[in-house]
Amino acid sequence: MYRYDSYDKTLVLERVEEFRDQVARRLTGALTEEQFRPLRLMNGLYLQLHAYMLRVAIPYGTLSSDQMRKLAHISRRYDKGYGHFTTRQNIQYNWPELEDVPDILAELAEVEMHAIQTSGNVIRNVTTDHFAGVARDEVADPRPYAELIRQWSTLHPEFSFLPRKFKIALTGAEQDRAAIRLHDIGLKLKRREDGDIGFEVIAGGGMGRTPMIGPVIRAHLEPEHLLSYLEAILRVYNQHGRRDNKYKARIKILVHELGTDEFTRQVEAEWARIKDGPLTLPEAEFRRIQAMFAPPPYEATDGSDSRFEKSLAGDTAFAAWVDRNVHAHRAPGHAIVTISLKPHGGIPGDASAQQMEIVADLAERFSFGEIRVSHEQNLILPHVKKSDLYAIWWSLLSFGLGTANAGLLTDIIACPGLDYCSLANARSIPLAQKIASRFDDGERLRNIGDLKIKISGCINACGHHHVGHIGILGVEKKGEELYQLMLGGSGAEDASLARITGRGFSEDGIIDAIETVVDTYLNAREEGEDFLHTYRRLGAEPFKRAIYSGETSK
Amino acid sequence: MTLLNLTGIASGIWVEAPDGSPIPEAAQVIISFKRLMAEGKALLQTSLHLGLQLEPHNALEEVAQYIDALSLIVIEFPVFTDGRGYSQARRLREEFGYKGELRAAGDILPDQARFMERCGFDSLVLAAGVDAETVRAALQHYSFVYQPAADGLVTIPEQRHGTPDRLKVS
Repeated sequence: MYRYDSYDKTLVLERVEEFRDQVARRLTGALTEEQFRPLRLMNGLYLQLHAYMLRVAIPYGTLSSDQMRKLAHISRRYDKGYGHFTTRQNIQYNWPELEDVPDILAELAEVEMHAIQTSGNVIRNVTTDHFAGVARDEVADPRPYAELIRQWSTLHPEFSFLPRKFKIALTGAEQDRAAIRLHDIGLKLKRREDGDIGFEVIAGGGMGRTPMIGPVIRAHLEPEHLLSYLEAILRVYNQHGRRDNKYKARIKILVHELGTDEFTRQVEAEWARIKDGPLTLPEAEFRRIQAMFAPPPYEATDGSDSRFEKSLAGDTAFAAWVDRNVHAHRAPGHAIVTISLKPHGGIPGDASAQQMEIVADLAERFSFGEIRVSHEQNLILPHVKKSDLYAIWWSLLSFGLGTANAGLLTDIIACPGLDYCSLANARSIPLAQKIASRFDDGERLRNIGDLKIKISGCINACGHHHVGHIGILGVEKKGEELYQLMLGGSGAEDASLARITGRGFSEDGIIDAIETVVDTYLNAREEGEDFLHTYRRLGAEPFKRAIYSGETSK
Repeated sequence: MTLLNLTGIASGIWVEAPDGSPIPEAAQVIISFKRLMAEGKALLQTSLHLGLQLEPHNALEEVAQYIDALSLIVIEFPVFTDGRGYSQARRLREEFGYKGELRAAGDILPDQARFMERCGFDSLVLAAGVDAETVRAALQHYSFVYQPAADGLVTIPEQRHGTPDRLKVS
């Protein structure tokens, strides 16, 4: 993991003091709320429906056990004893008091964390594959590059007042677990035929009210030019992105209106001018960062593990959990564990202080003190010995963390919705809970197989409904909450946008409709075919027929 | 309004010459982008010190031929959220080699002054109600920078590994 040196530390501490001063000026009334707003937004502090919300950055979703313990401590001391892990690998606290926020930031700084650029029209916290560095299908580790981007983008003097927020995601793997085609910039490390590694650069993807799958604007970018290329993209966007309409201000609209070719031409022209300047990757600095992401000292094993095999054979509940929540690791005898934050009936992405501490302890004992946050709002133990899995599973079970549903229908992404958010039209969390209750049957869920449900409480799409295999969008119609059903989306390497099926449903109606869609799939699937592939093979029609025909009442 | 001098080269009193009105003689005169486009060639023949008022949408490529004749460029920030002026400033310095005074005017928050300084501005015109002391304090908040900009500061990544080649005196 990356560790701060004295420069990183100083900068974060100076940021804390700057914000402490700003909060003091607000509390005495020297700053009005209107004047304070842009300042607090640069520190991830939102004013929500009921209270302030503080969003803390977890750069590229990586946490140490100490950092996780600090997050638990903060939730207990300054909040209501829980935190919410988000789709951008961050954590949110929903109930902090304004006067406590500088102290919270000071406590975060003690463990090399901050809330810089977790909101505002700036380059946001960079995200990556939550299996980075341990995935079997990885060409190169994206984390050193993510850290370079974190540093370059922090308090960037030119790009702190962009037309709109700006999100960058990276992956180094074949399978896209970071949704890079749905970001303002997506970067994928690939090996070219001649053996050289470079980035495929995607720009202009995004969700929100105008969802777009980003086009590739460069097939191969030498890694040493990463930052100058990003600077060229941002400079074109900062000058020409629309500022007349907030809803058309993201880079996807610029790319779309200029056309990919013209946008790319402008970026390449700017890049040609700056490409060999001071942003060229300094070799020594890259090596310094890369060394901090070296693999931990795994115990050498031949990969066979009789203890693990015995537990697997003797305990079907454990076997079911391993089947869904344990993933292949590049080191023999090791595995990656997904800790589900989607217990049936719970709030997707929420963890109590105690749960955070348990995860921190387990990581310390069994995963070299390292934890990841996935964009699907789960936690990951990236370096686990197979022989430790059974003990880990038992511990997780006792604390409500052992749900065996990774990638299944109840592994739902949901935005905070009308329970917290001032933008929402409808509630998301209770709907997620009711769906989980309706499908609360492990065998049935495993039979249904891979199926991603994503729920947004409004058109801004924080719950990623556009890329749900089943997407649900909450709308408001004549004072009633209504839910629209969408099918066929994917945020992965086979990215596609979900299509709306037809008229919307009440809360109970949408759950019935999901059940009908699932039953239609189960009846129509071919051997080994998951929901998305069945949908793609058959198209929307049979699903629409099943949902809307024969239906007499909502 | 207060003129805050960041780099020591801020050059005092300038007279604005609105479009359509006659150019005052023998003065430091600020003209609009539109006027520069229309009358720039003729104005270059005079002994005037020329200043240019830039709006965020003005194309710098059009200004390029006049760069060496300009002693002041004022970049307007119509609202503090409009960040186009930061890119204009850096491009003027780094792409077009502009050496004269660069001044920011309009809606400027104290906490933006540091970013402006880094993008190559020499002076800020502070609106009424913006306290110059608060701005000066904001300029001092940070000891280090992560990224290169128009100010040429040594960045954190560079400091970690000794003096970079670009700053070595041969």
